[in-house]
Formats: sequence, structure tokens, C-alpha cells
Amino acid sequence: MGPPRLTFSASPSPSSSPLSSHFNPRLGCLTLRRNDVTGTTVKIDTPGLLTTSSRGLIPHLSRDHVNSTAAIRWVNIPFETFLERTPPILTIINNSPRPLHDFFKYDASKHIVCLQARDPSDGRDMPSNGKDYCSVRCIRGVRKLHVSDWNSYTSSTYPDVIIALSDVPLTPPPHSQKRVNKSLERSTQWLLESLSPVPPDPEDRPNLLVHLAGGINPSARQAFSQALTETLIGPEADKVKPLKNLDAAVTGYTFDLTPLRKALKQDAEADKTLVHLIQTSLQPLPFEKPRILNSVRGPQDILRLISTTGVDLFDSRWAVDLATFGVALDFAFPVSSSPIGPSPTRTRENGKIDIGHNIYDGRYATDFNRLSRLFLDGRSKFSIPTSTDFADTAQRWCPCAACSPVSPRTQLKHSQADEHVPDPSTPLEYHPAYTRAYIHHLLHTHEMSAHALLTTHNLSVVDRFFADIRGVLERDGVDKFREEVQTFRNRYDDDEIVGDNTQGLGEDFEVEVVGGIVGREAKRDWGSVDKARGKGRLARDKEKSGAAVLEEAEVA
Amino acid sequence: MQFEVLATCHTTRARVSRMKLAHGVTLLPTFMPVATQAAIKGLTAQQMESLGVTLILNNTYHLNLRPGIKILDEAGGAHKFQGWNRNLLTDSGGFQLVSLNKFTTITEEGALFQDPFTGEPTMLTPEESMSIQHSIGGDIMMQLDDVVASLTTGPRVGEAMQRSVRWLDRCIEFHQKSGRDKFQNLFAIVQGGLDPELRNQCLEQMIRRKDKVAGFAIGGLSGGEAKDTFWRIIKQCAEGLPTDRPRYAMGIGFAEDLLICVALGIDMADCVFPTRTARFGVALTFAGPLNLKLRKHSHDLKPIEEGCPCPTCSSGTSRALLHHTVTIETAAAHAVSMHNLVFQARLMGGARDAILAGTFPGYLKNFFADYYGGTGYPKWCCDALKSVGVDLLEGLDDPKVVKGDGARWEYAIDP
Repeated sequence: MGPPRLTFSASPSPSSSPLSSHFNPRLGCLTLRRNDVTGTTVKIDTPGLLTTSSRGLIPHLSRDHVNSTAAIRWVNIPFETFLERTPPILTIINNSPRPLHDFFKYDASKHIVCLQARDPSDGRDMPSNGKDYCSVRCIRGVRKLHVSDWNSYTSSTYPDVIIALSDVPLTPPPHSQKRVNKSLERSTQWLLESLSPVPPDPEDRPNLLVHLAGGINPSARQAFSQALTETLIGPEADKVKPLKNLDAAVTGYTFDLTPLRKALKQDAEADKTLVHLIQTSLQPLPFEKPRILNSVRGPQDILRLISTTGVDLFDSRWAVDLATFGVALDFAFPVSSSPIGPSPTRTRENGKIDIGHNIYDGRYATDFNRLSRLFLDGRSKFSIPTSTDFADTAQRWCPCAACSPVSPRTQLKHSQADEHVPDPSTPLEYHPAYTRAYIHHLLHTHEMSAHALLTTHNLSVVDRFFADIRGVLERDGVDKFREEVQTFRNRYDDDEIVGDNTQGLGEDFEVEVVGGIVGREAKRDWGSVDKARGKGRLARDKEKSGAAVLEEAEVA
Repeated sequence: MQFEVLATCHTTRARVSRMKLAHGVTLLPTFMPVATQAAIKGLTAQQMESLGVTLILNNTYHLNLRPGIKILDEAGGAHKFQGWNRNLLTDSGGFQLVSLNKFTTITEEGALFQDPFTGEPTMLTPEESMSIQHSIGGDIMMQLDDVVASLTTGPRVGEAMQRSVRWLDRCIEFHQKSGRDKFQNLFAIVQGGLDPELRNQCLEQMIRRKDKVAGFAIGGLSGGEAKDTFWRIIKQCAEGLPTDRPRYAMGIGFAEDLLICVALGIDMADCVFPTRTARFGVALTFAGPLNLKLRKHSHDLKPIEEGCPCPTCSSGTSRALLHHTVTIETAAAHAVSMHNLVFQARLMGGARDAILAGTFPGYLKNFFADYYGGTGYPKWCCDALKSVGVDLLEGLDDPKVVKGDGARWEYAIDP
């Protein structure tokens, strides 16, 4: 039984302009076929999302919510925290063909599990890496992860997909030319070592993604990509026999935006520069391999990168972060698919509307609507036949556990006399959606259930967003897609960071603020509720909400 | 409320009953998880239902502050607000007034406290407590009682008991006039501190009002009193209370306490313990609590408890994964909370089955042997059960008996 096979098919969308089709938006499908008795395949249509985990778990979601959130298909697991104990627990799970699925209880028929050394969104300064090790972080401090150890960890844990170790400098920028060169050399060398020896049968080779190195230096990025496709000679060629070049062992490419943004902090045109850097890396590389991107900041970022670089899979950490900070996403693409219903997101001074609701805000205290105005809840869609709510968007609904809670199919029975056990043959019953007022209450009382509901909701909205992106590309082609991207940009508040937007938020805001104005406001409110605990806290809350009301009255 | 005793233990005072309320049937004895702020920590109403829980508790004091009565009224009550379709019990708010507010003063009119929002003096009267609980809409509501700390002695205890009786009358009157007594059920709370004589007086007064209340609670315990006193008061009250009303021991949640209470005739109990301890990384098992933070669990691929039907154990989630994530990831708190709530439910469900089957004394012996066999039986447990005809040590060779409260902790010392 060999490792599962990850394949990708991509086709450029029909376009009237033949220009730069290498970077055009594209439709594709990632397929993981399990080489075991089950022969299961897991498919992800692209453009699509991947979910990031924290210590192996999707933040805030219990196991049943992970399983009921269809948006979760690809899970990235950073290895570094497992270096807290020796040997790392993940490496000693015996007698299992899929130790990671078994350990974290991901479902092999639903979830692709991808192992990487570090959390790609962690942009904090790190000590420098060495010739044969990468500095990684765990709760007990910084550890050296040696290349040989990493290779033994990845081979003993059988992840579906591995992201090759690469040397990304996280020492404070700027990085010297010498350092950049070293980064290329090491990343190439580490990749080489992880491949060697190459199993003769291609079916036995792991699914390997490689992070495209070179930092913010375009010629370095180009050099790295070229090194992947260069025909190897001499001892290097011997090491990876029978492969002609490194790229032959690579299933796809990844980009981590966090270190790039960190290095581009002074660049007023950082978003444009990023596009250029990604294109530079992809230019020498084959079209048909998947492009996977970490640390995207929101829908505007995603649309821009699909438009200009043809990225296939985006991480959704931003949506989970927004759930942590109390934002319920409520946006749709294309804009024309989303009539303004009751209780829309806020319109800002620039005329644009928010991509979500800051549920901390006092306006939601008595708002008994479901989280999303743009999508029906399950009960309105399936249980109330006369619902006139958005008759023209009858097919659109949010299947998350907050908008469409369903009565449990099974209930535990604790004694023979218990009477409450449901009849499994009864049809699925949708309960009323959880309301904004309830989640507002949970946020202000510091109840974790709020974040569970918001996380499953936000991931579902993002999943829908990607489905709609694919729909437009499929039906209407690239030109129409680009038009819709422009309309979306004009309609929704941008998540671009203008200057240092962490100002006034306190010191320990290491996570980048996402979600535009609403994200910043939510993070501020989250911070004050999260920190203002203890005696007298309620009085302080009251004072603040009074002040906020005044502020708004003045604006009005 | 329909209340029917289905079976009684032939030896102890334990019994199984069926309590039918506006939101369904709850089998007693049962443990009630606490959703202080209208949510069981980290979980949803649907998840709670899937765990086989049919009765939870909301705290009146907290819900009155936030979201407040106006919002609860607009939402159509706490059931709708939190999406919970099963039974709900609310306390009176009196306990938190005393435990959370330093400046509360009790007058005959009611409890005068500082509003934590505005700092203004605010009065919680028995009528006001009823009115708030009507807005919440719990299936069971508690009278406002005059709560004193469990360890209080002197005339204040008697005064508080007497006042609790007078406040009960005011609660009954307000509740009956409101017409809400058709679907919301008022429970009286027996007070009297640790003084058996005061408890007797209170029992007598409250039983006189039996026809106007749906059940009785025993308050003023679980506040640091000696275990030997605790069980004697529970026993005295449970014996004194009528058999055709449910009996509720407030604030009880340790497994050993629960089973002792059941053996002494208690039907219901509540505590934040299982969910709170879960957040600190402690998982409850029939062999005693596990502190998942300890290094010894770091490479243990076993579930918390073999054979446990909770979502965490039945999925095979290992102690090692929980060790890696607990107290850091909220998702780990959810996993351990679900387990702990199912543990409490199994403990009580098992008691129901044993009482129905006539094997409850054996159930007690097995539980205490598994739970305490290694560390020694707490003397108070032996005494309490002996008082209702069960000798835990019967037939044991050289059993170990220990003094003290006997709470089992896996101490946070990494060997």
C-alpha cells in the first residue's frame, strides 16, 4: 500500500485576451486518491480554501462541528508544537496507515491532512536558521528542527501531503544578498535531502509541496524556481535518481505571505509587489501544478490573487481570526447575487459596506436575525414552505451550525428508563437559527460557544464564496469575472492595510488585523472584553457602550 | 409538573422518578449541567441534546444583568434565546448576590445590592426574583431565599431561615397571581445552616406550604462545611421532605457527593464543577479524575475512559492529544467538557438503572471500590451509607479508610 496520490487538473478559463494565460484565473480540481482497500477519493474544486489548525485542531471547533462543516477538506498541521515532548507523539503512533488522521480524528474520506514544519502565519522574529536546521517555535521556546529529523518525522507520520522544509529568514528584515543566497541554497539542499533516495516507483513517492523561496528579491525568486527545473548533474543527480530535476518530485507550490509582508512593510504598493513576486516565481514553472497560498487577508486579497496569479488554494485563517474577534461574515460574490435585505452590514464613509458584522457592537444586542442576511437559514429554506425571505435567491442558504442547527440524529441514553431517544427515521429537523442577539450576549459574557458558532459560520461563508467564484469563471469566463471583481471591490470595504493599522490596539497584537474597518473595530472590542475581566468590569462595559452610542449620535 | 416515583431502593432511600415538565420528561435522579450565561461552556444546545441531557440550569442573577429582561422578553424567553428545547431550571439570584457582591445587605423587603453596571443601590425582592424568572421562562424556578455562608453561626442563621420562609410566601403569592404557575414550577428552598434544629423548623414550615410548591431544594450547603455535617443535613432534610415532591440538593457535583445524596433520597443536583474542571484540564472517570496536564499522559494513546460513549472517547480521542491541547485550545475544553458531562450523566443513569433493578447497594459498592479502592475510602462516605444500610467495607480484607473530605485529585506534580 503506497501513499495516497494527489493529482491536479487545471484549465485556464476561456478569455478573450490571450495575454499572460499563465497567470489567468483558472478552474481546477485537486484529487486525493487513497491507495488502500477503501480506494477513497477526496476532491477539492479550485479556486478553493484550506483550513489551518492550531496544535492540530481547527480553532474553536469540537470534533462534531469539524465533521459537520463541509468547508473543511484540507487541513494544514504545523509540526513545531509537537517538539515540546520527546519523542514527538505524532511519530510514535504505530500500527496505523494514517497516524495523523487517527491522532487528530480527521476523517480519511473527507479530509486531506498536510504536514508542515511551522505555522506559516507566525511572523514573529526568530533566531536565524542554520545550515542543516530550521528554527521553530513551541510553548517551551525556540527549537532547532534538523533536516534529518524532519525527514524522519515526515516519513513516520504518513501525512497525505508534506510541505518541504525551507529556509525562510525570520530575522528582522532587511536581509542581505548573502542571506538571500543562503536561503536559496539551503532550501534547495533541504529539498534534495528530503527526496533522497527517490523510490523507483512513482506510486511510492510522497506528495510534496515546495515553498517558493527568494523573499522579496525578484531575481532570487526566479533563481529558485529555475533551480527546481534545471537538469541536475553530478552528485546531486545521483542523489535523486531517477529524477531529472527537483521539480519532477514536486506536486505543487506554496507561498507564505506573512514573511513577505513583513519584509514589505515600508512598501506603499505592497499588494502590487506581492503579485509581481508571485508571478516571478511561477513564470519558469509548469502550469499544471497547484498553487497554494498561506496568510491571505480576505476576499479582496483572494479575488486579486486569483485574477493576477491563478492561485488555486487559499488558507482561511483570516476567517477564523475574524470569528475569534467576533465578526460574522456576510458578503457574497458576485455582488449582483446579493440583494440588500434587512439588517445589512454597515456602510462606511467611503460608501463601501462591511464584509461582516462586528457582533460585539451594541447594535446587535436586540437583533434577532440570523447571522447572515445574504443566505437563508436551514429552517427558512426547508421547514417553512411559505417563507418569502429572498424568493429570488431561493437556492442560497448557509448550512453552518449557527444558521442551520439540526436536531441531533442520535442521543446518548444513560439508563433503560430514558425516554428522550429520538427515532432515527424522523426527517432532519432544522431548529431556528442562532440570533445575532444571542451571539452578542455570548461574546460580551466571554462564552466560548460564540466563537464555535462564528467559526463554523465564517468557514461556510468562505466556502460559498469560492463556489461562487468558480461559478462565475465557469459560466461567464475570465473577462466577466474581472468585471465582477471590480464591482466587488467597489461595493465592499477593502481589507488592504493602509499604514500601521494595529495602532491604538495595544502591544500584543501580533496577528495581522484583517477584515477592513469592521475587523479592526471587532478586534478592539474583543480586546476590551477579553482583558477587562474581574471586579468592576461590568461598570466599565457600561461606560464604554454609553460612549459608543454618543459617538454614533454625533456621526449621525 | 407531573411527578411519579417509579421505583425505590429496597435498602437505601434512593428512588427513581419521572418528572414531566413543559419541555419534556426528565428521569430522576439526575445531574443538571450549569449554563450560567445561557450557554454550556463552548457547546451548543444541539450538542447538549445529543449528550442525552434533558435538564440544564440558567443563572437568574447573570441573565438579569446580561442580556437583561427586556431582551429575554423580546426573544420570547431563555429557551428560545439559547435554542434549548428541553427542560430548564433557574435559580433565584439570591446566592450570587451574596457570593459575588460584597456590599449586599438583606432587609425584610429584599436584598439590597450595588448594581454592578451603574453602582446604584438596587433591590432584589422576592417578587422581583419571580418576575425575572417569569421572563426567563424556566420550567422550574426557585424561591428567593436569604442565603448566608455555610459556615455562618449565631442568630443570623435562624433569622435567615425565618426570612426565607416569609419570602417563600411572597414568592408563592406573586407566582400564583401571575398565572405562570400553569407551566412554570416553583421550588421552595430549605435553609437553616448547619443547625439540625433550625433545619427541622424550616422543614416544618415549608412542608405546610407543600400544596403550593412543586418541589423542594436543600440550600446553604456545599460551602466549605465538613463532609460529616454535610451528609447529616442532607439526610435529615431528605427524610423530612414529602415523598411526592422532587428533592434538589443545590451546588453538588463531585461524583462521591452525588451518589451519597442519591442514597440519602436526593433526586436532583447541579454544579459548575464538571465543565469548570474540564477547562483546567481535568477529566472525570470512574477510576477518579485525571489531570490531563500531567506529563504521564503525554504519550498515552488511550481515550480518557474505555467504553465511555461520549463523543470524545467514542471517537478515540487520546489522552495524548488532550494533553497537547488542553488549557490552550478552546476545542480541547469542549472535548473534555462533553466527556465530563457524559460522565455525570452516566453516573446518575447508572444509579437509575441500579435502583430499578434492585441492585443499588451493589452499584454503590462497585463505584466506591473503583473510585477509592487505591487511595482509601473516605470515612464520611462509609458513615453516610452505613446510615442507610450499606456497608461499603463489608467483606473487604483490610480496607483502607481515610479521614478528610476524600475529594480525589490527580495533583499537578510531574513525577
